[in-house]
Amino acid sequence: MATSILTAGHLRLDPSLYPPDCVGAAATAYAEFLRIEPSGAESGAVGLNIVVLPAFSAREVQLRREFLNYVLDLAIQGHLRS
Amino acid sequence: MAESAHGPASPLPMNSLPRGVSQRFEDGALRVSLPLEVYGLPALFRACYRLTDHSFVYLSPPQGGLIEVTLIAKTGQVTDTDQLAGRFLNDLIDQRLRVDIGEETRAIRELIVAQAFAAVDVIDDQGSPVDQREKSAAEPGDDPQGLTQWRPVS
Repeated sequence: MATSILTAGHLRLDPSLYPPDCVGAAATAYAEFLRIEPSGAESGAVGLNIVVLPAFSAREVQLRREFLNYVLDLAIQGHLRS
Repeated sequence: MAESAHGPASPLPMNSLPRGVSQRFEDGALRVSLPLEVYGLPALFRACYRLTDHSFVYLSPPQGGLIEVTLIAKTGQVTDTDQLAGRFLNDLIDQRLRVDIGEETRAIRELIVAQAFAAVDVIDDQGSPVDQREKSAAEPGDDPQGLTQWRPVS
């Protein structure tokens, strides 16, 4: 059985679901804990590596998931407003 | 169906969904494939927004009219993930219905709000829109419905 994308450090985000400005805002909010490295476009989606800073490596998976939820919340708020 | 001390157990997504619609992962996450044509993005966003309270969620890039939603309960328990997924799928139908009803009743809701803030009537007693041009053209003493006309008592 494979590991889900919620545990992996590499993600593919569709800009129509996760607007780049929401990803940027989330990256700023989480800058203390992790950094986001773009890894190019993959069939219309944006590739991202979520790199948790060494000081927080014990909570690596948790922080990635919280970051992802944060981006999704921002994105949905934007979609529902428009 | 398994019975529990509190009655029959609810069918869990892994057991109740057709083969291929859901997939379990090693970390306990569950991935569900959903047809966008059926649910639509607005309903999906609303259901996901409620879901993020209790679980971590990822939406994959849509492909071939399908979108994959991967979720895992914040507790990390597989049973919690299954229950949340079941609740999410029901909520999707609920939200889709709300979106549809919202569209169907948009015109009357806008009229009611307009009436609430308007200085003059924009809808009559029967709920029909009032043509303000026609109304303003009427002179005092006009009796378009003939209410003041004398009629013999039968």
